[in-house]
Amino acid sequence: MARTVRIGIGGPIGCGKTELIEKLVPRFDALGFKVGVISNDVYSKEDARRLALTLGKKINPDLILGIETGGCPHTAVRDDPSMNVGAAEKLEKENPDLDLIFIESGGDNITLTFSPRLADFFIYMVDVAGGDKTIRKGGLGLRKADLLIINKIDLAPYVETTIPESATKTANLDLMVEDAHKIRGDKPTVLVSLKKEIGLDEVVKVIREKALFK
Amino acid sequence: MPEKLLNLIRISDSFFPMGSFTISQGMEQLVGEKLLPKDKLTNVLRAYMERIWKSFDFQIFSHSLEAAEHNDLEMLTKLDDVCYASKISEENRSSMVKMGINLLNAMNFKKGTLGASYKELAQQEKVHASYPVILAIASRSMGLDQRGGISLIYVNLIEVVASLVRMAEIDYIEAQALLTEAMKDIELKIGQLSDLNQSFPLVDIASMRHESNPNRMFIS
Repeated sequence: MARTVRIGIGGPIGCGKTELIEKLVPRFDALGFKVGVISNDVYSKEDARRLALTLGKKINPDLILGIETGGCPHTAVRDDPSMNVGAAEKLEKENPDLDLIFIESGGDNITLTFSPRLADFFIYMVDVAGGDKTIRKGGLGLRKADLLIINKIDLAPYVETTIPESATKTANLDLMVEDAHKIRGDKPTVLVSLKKEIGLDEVVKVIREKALFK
Repeated sequence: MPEKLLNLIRISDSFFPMGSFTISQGMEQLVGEKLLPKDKLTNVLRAYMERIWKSFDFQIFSHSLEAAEHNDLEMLTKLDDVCYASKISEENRSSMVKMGINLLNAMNFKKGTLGASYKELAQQEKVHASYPVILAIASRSMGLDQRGGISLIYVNLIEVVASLVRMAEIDYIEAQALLTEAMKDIELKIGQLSDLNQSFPLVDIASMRHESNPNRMFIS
């Protein structure tokens, strides 16, 4: 059975993971890629329901699956991703022409990573409103992710910096990017505002180059 | 330390990739509907044990083990059908099959063996791959034989008790006390196939209601 490219998306609650998928799916659809989505909701199928509503006109709702994670979002994508793997294989079997599956983790902390047996490419997301010091805290998710996305950059002027050394009083995006390079080396970090649709082209470019190779 | 004992522990461990941490066996619904007073938990576990796990799942396992010992694929398939049909709620059937498939995927059967054949049949969706049947095939393959039945009992117990901990109904020490009590004096006897039975309407109905519950942590 052919295996699609599976892209895991992790990050804290409210950072914009679901919205990222809502923005990326139409873009990849327009580029001619067939996309499926698996949403790991910790306590409800709310994200899967929302995606079915917002993306229902763009992709077949049968390509969107919701998975309950038994209250263990880490386990479901890392230690024992068997249920997610099963869901991905189900999508692949029923849709042999599927190119790409986004797998959204339940909102979680900075230690989250995806099992390489589940995801071929791992996106970790944070948002500016969560504090500009988030990056320098490090964490496996930030370090290991193939792509780090810093969302809600439009809110930077309205959020107080949480870095004592910052030259600005508000969230310091330059320091966030600098911290990301220190922790991640040459691995890509992209600043976005999903609401204002800033940075999405770069996200698509990175995914095409480094995950899809086309 | 003997390899077989270690393998028995390995496949019973919640770290073993079967997705058992996503299953509550109806507990989530019972808790949500406040039908599980804390002082009744031991009785409920005892009911699971007597009415489902010992009277049915273990029997399916034992007879599947015998079929596996005789390389009787036809009998295994029949037992798989019976096991599948016996679970009244769709989510129970589905989660039992998912565990079976995950167990098959985690096993590395040698080519030409019964396990390899059954795995292929499961991939072709020609068999259900119910967990008790697959556990029997796996037990035979690992030389565990009847000891695999202990794994079945343990895995089921942990699914139920761990779900209570994750739902904050009991704490981790209470969980251990519950498990200690539940593991006392378990007698596992192999009966006739004609005596197969399972009946726990409280859990069956809870499972069916759980299917339409929009807010849930567990798949069943």
